[in-house]
Amino acid sequence: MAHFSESELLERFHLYIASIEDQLWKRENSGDIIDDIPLITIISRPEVLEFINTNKIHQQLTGYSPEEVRENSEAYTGNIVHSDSLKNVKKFLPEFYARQGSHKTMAFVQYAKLLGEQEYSPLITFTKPPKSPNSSVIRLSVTPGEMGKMSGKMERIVKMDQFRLKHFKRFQHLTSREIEIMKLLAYGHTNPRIAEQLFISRQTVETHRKNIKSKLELGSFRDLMRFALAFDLIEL
Amino acid sequence: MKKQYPTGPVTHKIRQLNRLDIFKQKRMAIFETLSDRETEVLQLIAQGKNNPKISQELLISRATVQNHRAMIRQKLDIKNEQGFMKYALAFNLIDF
Repeated sequence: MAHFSESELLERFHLYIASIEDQLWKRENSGDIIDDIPLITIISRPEVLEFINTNKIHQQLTGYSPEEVRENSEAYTGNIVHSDSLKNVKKFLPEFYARQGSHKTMAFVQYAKLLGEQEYSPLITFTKPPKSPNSSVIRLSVTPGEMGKMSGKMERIVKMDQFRLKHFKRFQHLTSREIEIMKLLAYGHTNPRIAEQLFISRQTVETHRKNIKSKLELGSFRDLMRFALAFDLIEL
Repeated sequence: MKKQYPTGPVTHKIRQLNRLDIFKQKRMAIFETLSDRETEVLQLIAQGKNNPKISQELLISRATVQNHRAMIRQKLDIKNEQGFMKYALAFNLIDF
């Protein structure tokens, strides 16, 4: 796979998507179109696991031919994609495909076991909702290391995402009030300030703080910040 | 072609890191006034280590750690705990 800068990657993504979409309207067989694309390319129904086609790079990196992917989609995804990641994708992708306007592009991280590797590799995947309810969707993936100038950033994002996956269950134990207080703590606000802002007593803030600490097993301010960053609670 | 930013699960994080890049550019000159030792202390603070731990690790007294901390605060104009983290993130002293 080739190396791209951040803007190149986005531009290429749009270019590839546009060319694939164009060709898909004209002919049935998308194989020869997507084989020229130097990124892992998957064309599916908006239902996500109903695959239509995959390209040569996809086969090189996963070992699965387009036929195998199509005919055995459950086994293929089960073997390739990390189960947490798959759950996640099954949940938000159909929502995204159904809800958003066709001009929106989304990037997300998923974890896949590539051919000959023991560990799961993070893949940054770009996708866009279908042009019309009946048309297919295209997903293009790259590994963070192949993103050129953007690699460093993407590797950090992947680390945050891995943290988020790892601690997702723990985070779900927080109440919405606790999340609210956690945000303020992550911004560096003190207890008295938080009490004032939320019109509650300092004692109540302290109780919330203790509960957050024990639920998330926080040992330092840094731990709190890691949650705040990984779960997108604050803007720095 | 119109340049678009992807929206979705990692978009917030991409923007976050882009904001940190801008912060880094703006604060580069101030950050460079830190001594090597102060940078080291900042990194340890951002790693969540408290003063006793830092004094152990760097083999310096707690009072010296306290002084470094105060000096970093003053030089970087840090108002609260988050300030240390923000600098450490922007200047790649910690991953996140």
